[in-house]
Amino acid sequence: MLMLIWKNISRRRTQSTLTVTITMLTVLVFVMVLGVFQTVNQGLALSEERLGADAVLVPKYAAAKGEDLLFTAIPENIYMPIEMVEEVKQFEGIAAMTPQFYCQTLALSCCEPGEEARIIGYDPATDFILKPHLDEKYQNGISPDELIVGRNFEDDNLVGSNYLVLSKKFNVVTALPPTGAGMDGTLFMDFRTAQDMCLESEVLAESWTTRDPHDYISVIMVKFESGVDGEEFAKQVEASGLEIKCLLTGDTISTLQSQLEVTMKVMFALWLASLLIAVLALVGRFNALAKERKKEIGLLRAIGLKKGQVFGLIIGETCTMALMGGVLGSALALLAMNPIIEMLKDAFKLSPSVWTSSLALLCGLAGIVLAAVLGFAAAVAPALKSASMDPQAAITQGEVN
Amino acid sequence: MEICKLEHIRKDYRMGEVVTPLKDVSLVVNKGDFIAVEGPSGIGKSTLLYVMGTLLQSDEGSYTFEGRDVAKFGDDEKSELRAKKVGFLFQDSTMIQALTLRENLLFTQGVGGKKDPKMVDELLYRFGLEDRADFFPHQLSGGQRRRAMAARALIHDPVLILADEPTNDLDEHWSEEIIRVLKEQTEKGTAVVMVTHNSRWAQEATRRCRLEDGVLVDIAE
Repeated sequence: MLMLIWKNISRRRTQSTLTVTITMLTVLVFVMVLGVFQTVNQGLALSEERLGADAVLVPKYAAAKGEDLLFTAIPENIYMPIEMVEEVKQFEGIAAMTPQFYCQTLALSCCEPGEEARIIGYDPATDFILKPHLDEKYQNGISPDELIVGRNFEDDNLVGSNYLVLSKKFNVVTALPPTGAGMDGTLFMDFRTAQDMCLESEVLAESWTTRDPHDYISVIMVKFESGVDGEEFAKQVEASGLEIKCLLTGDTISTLQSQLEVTMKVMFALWLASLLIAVLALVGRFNALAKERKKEIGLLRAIGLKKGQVFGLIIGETCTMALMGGVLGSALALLAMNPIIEMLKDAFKLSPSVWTSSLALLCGLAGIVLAAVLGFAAAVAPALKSASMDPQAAITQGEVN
Repeated sequence: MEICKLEHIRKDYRMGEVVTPLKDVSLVVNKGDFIAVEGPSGIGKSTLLYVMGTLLQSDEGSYTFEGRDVAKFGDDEKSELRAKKVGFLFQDSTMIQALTLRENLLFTQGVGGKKDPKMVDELLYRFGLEDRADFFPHQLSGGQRRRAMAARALIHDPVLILADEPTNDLDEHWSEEIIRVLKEQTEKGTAVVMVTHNSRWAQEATRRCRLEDGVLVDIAE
């Protein structure tokens, strides 16, 4: 019986190719939609969990949006006086706060990041953002020639090696785990070192001719005491009259999530439409095949095949073809996922690093299961009809009915 | 020794009006019988074979196969009986399109629970099809398909062969050969019921009957 299933598939090549292709395209779209949804959603959840800060205080003039600051590693050269740290300490509801100093690399030569990358100088004394991800020996800080890199740099196996940043040699001591946020594409160094870099680098120094970077910070990351309402805190900041504004990470994530939901609903609706078309096409195909093979099915019954065997034969053929389409569709979708996530990265402000092999496996398996269900659902009615055909009528009437 | 027995079989077709090709058919088929059923086209000869092959259920009368009442058989039992005991040679040369000739024969044999590739080769040789063994049905001529059908009817060593116009599409030589093979089968104990409207081939049978107005009557020697 298995031999007949395989021969029917392999020797009716045009018919089989068509069926496999329809299933493959349906599964391809499904796995891609599922993969993107899962990646973006998990990225957001991971970011929320790992960002550590509930709010980011930035200079009032900063044009940067919350999602740009949090979810991209695009350099943001924004500064406010270092005295702002003392002012902010006066606010109510702060459990922890830490200043950060931003500067950037340039698109320069070898041994440096190929593109402009964000450098963040962090303050080990107050930091609560990096600390949970660092080994104990780095929790009290790193030396001026040491560097911590985001997960995206880990692909280059930088840990333990030397790395040039703005022509200065650094020893990469560790890489952070993936966060799905801008941290993944950021280089972290000691706060003071980052400020020094602005004077040492010829290009960056041009921006600091009239002021001293040591008198400035870029942002203050804030963690609330439990029960503090973010909106209330933001009002407090605004009412203070200070030249700063409050970006709530929860709001940013919620905004991204609602944007994502709308996008995903549209994508899902489009996929449902394509699924419906695929089901109709497959039901039509299997019905036509059953009709075309009516005489043959009558013959199979006449030579002694039982109803269940005829049913199994047709379901076996269709499910095998559907599974082939499912495997191909899943494989193609998984191959296409990395470029797709790269393309969507900017749109969703997310890091592609959260597309893991376990997620890929899950999406791929879901695609294969969908293919099997699709094949079975589309073939079950024609298979039942064929199996219960009166063999004598099938033989004598053939395709006429 | 009795293989099957039809008693007062009636079969109606309801196609707008009721057509009754078999009104009162009785027939006993014994081991080694070669029975020819004659009659004009459309009289119900094929219907009789379908009833005997359990592909059709009669409306009245009783049909026993090897002493067992076929009316009491479930669908699976009927399938098993066809797979193991009955060899069909249909008027229509239907074959499994995705299988080669050899594969068609092997598959049919397998459904009957047998696996004898040597027998397949022997039958292919016997019917002059050895060089067509790996051809697909659509690559065979009408006559070759007919011979292939004959080989398929014998491939699982049935106790009863039901042959519907077995010499259709065949030239003189192969018609004679098919009849010779069927006769040889009866000598081995297989019963053959052959439907034909060609009295020349009917003469080869050990018993000749005519289906007239739904009743089977013996033709006197």
